[in-house]
Amino acid sequence: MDEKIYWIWLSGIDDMWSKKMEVLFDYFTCASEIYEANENTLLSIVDDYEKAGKKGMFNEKDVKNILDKNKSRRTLEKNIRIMEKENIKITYKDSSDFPSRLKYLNIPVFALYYSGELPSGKNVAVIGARGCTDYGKKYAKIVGENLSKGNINVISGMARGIDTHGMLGALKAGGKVYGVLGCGVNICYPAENMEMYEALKKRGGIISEFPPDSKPLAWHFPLRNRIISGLSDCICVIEARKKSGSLITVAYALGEGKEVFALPGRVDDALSVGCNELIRDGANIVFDGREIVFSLTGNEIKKVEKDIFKEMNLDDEQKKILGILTSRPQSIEEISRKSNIEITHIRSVLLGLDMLDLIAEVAKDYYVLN
Amino acid sequence: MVSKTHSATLMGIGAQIVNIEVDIGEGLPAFEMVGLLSSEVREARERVKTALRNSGFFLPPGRVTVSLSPADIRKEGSGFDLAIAVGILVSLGLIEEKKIDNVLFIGELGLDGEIRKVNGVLNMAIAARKNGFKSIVVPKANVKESCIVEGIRVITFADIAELIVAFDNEIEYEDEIDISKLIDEENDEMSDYDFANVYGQKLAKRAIEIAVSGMHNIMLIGAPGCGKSLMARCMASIMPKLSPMEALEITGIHSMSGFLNDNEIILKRPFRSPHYTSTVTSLVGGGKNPRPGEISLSHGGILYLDEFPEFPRKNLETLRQPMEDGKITISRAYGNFSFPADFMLVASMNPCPCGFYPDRSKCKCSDFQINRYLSKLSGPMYDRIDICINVENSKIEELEKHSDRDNSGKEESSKMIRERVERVRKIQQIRFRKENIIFNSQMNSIQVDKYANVSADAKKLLGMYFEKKKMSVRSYYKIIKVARTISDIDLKEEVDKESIAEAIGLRKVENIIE
Repeated sequence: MDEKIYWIWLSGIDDMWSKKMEVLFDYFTCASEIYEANENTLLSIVDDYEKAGKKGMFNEKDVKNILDKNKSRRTLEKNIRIMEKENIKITYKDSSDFPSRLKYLNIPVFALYYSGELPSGKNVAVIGARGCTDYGKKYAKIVGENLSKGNINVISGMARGIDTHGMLGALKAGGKVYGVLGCGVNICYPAENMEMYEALKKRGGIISEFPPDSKPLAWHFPLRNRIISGLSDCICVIEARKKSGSLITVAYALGEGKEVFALPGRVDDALSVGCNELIRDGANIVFDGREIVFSLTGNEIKKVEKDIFKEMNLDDEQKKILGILTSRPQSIEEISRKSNIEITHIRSVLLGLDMLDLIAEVAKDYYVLN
Repeated sequence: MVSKTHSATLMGIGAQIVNIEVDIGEGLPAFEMVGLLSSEVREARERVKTALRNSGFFLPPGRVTVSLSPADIRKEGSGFDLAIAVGILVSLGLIEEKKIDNVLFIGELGLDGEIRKVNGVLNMAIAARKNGFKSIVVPKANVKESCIVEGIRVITFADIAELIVAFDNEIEYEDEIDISKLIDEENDEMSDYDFANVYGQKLAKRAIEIAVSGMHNIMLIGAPGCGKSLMARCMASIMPKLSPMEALEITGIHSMSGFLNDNEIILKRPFRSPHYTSTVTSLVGGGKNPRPGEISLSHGGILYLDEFPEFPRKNLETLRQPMEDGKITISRAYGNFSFPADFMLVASMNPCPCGFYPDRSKCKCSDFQINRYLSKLSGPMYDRIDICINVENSKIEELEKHSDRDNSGKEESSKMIRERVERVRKIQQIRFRKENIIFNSQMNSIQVDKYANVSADAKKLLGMYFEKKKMSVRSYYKIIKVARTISDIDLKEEVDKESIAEAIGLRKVENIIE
């Protein structure tokens, strides 16, 4: 049998995960050796392990699972079938294409399933809150776009919110995008990202540590985050609350000595508190992603400056409203109050700007600058 | 001796005169009642017997037969008691038969002989007048509603004893009530639900004025506690005053449903706000003997559906036909019943499940959750709505300005807005004098082309928007209808660009449709 098959077998065993593999690979060099190992050898590992005072992580139950070849073979056959059908590949720690830095993480990664391809070159993780603001969406897109223009791959967890919009921006600019999932590679989670999931297979890759058909369980996600940070050259946080999952990824990255970028927000904005605190604690500031490109490659991307006022022949009222609007949604009443334009007239001015795509209505009667 | 008295039973919104014959003959003592009676009518036997005894009249031993006709309609309610008792008294020769000619008797009897309140007396009084009755005897608690019916004299007694004495001597009639005077008095007085008490909210007030002027159904989106329900309540106060005919009709509906307090007349436009757990029957009406539902109780006024997306789609679907026809028809094996249901729909909802979107400092809903919440509203439901606005929390400065008791911050009162609305209604009346509609919102597409009078550049703007947003044809016409009302308010002959732009802003809901 091919060594790959042994790896698919190993990762498909019940309850098997990186921490347990870490124990096993202290004693074995490859997956086939574990397959061949007899009960005594395995039990002696448990013994050794417990003598060293590290109780619980690897125990008799795991030995039983490894030795239950009937069951694990069934899982193996199923997984191989799925992988063939969905064109999913596996890479493991001794393969030539395995991203070597993942081996040296705090909790090492031993094998990865992927659809599409594995990332190469420079990679940046664009991450942030799932329930983000329109400000966050806008800048996630811009950062993703600029990174792609600078030939840098975008990596994220393909979650809702910032992750999705960062990826959309990068895809729009034609860059490569990689999604690291907390479930099997053959599962699109969240389901509404189906279109992007398919695009990623062709324009980048879908990566996961978990065997096909694994469910998106809560404990998978912090583990998934360490792969995101492990694969990236630096991390860019767009929006994060004070206690955000994104900050776990940041902690991993800092542990690995990687640079962290954060998008500044208003001080009193709950969704920017995480980012602002990162900046206070020494993170780099990102405005539109060009800083990251410069820091990683030394290349400068030119910003396309447009004078829309002149170009579009706007009148005074329209200019006034453009001056008032920001990326924070403002209600018509608020805009009317600030601009002193009558409530009976303001909808007409707003519609004019909307038709020119200069502003957008993000919720009923709330407008932002486009 | 056989005596004949008259009472009435409700049939749909109207009432049917019921003839009551009483015969006291010889035989074993018995009290028989015939004529397709429901059990509460059947129980009249015990009430009448006891009430008469306690008023001092003992039934002679013999066979009492009471027949209610026409025998083929089902008789419901407790309003026959009085007529049966009077019939017995006539049979006993205690009341002269000629005195009860052309008199309709309505009332339930207490065991002590007291004459008690009955539902639907107004409807019965109207039926009595139609059938040529000269006067009507009603319970004390139903006097006022009966007195607003012109052309019939109203008599009332506290109990049977009083009735006997009066029929022996002189009968006193109640004074007729001039309902239009009452309506004026009631509506000129400022109530709690007056727009003078709604501070700020200029955007919402403008949209509401447009909605009420053209009878466009409106949806209010806003965070919890921002004043959606208050404003919905206030909306009834800026609708034109009730005409005496309308007041009569609305009071009749409330009377037959038992929603009238003692001696109450409905003088203001109704505001009904059924909960989203209401059943179809309670919304549109029904039952074995059909009774009006919420849509009929809000006839002439406002039906407010709070938490609109929470209403089961099936229930809202049943509103569609009545909203088009202005009435609801309920079919039963023994006939069709029609109730008026011409109301203005006001719906409200939160912008997202938690209610605070797009204020992300409070709202933690994901885009997914928000879209799912809004998608409950999609398509067929939103079709019922012409205008949709966001209601924002009033600014604290506005509230403070009012607590100062300084006149500078005074808001326009409902009465002032109502005068403008009445003016716009008049414009519409003149516009549609040759059609069978009265409001801009009722125009069909042909009438829109004929009466809307949209200027060329306004049409161009709407066309551009139509193309850009891939709008539906229905929305296209809805926008023009609302724009017509806006132009009417601003006293413009032609629907110009400005009106169309405002109507588009009032109609569109990005993320929901279009």
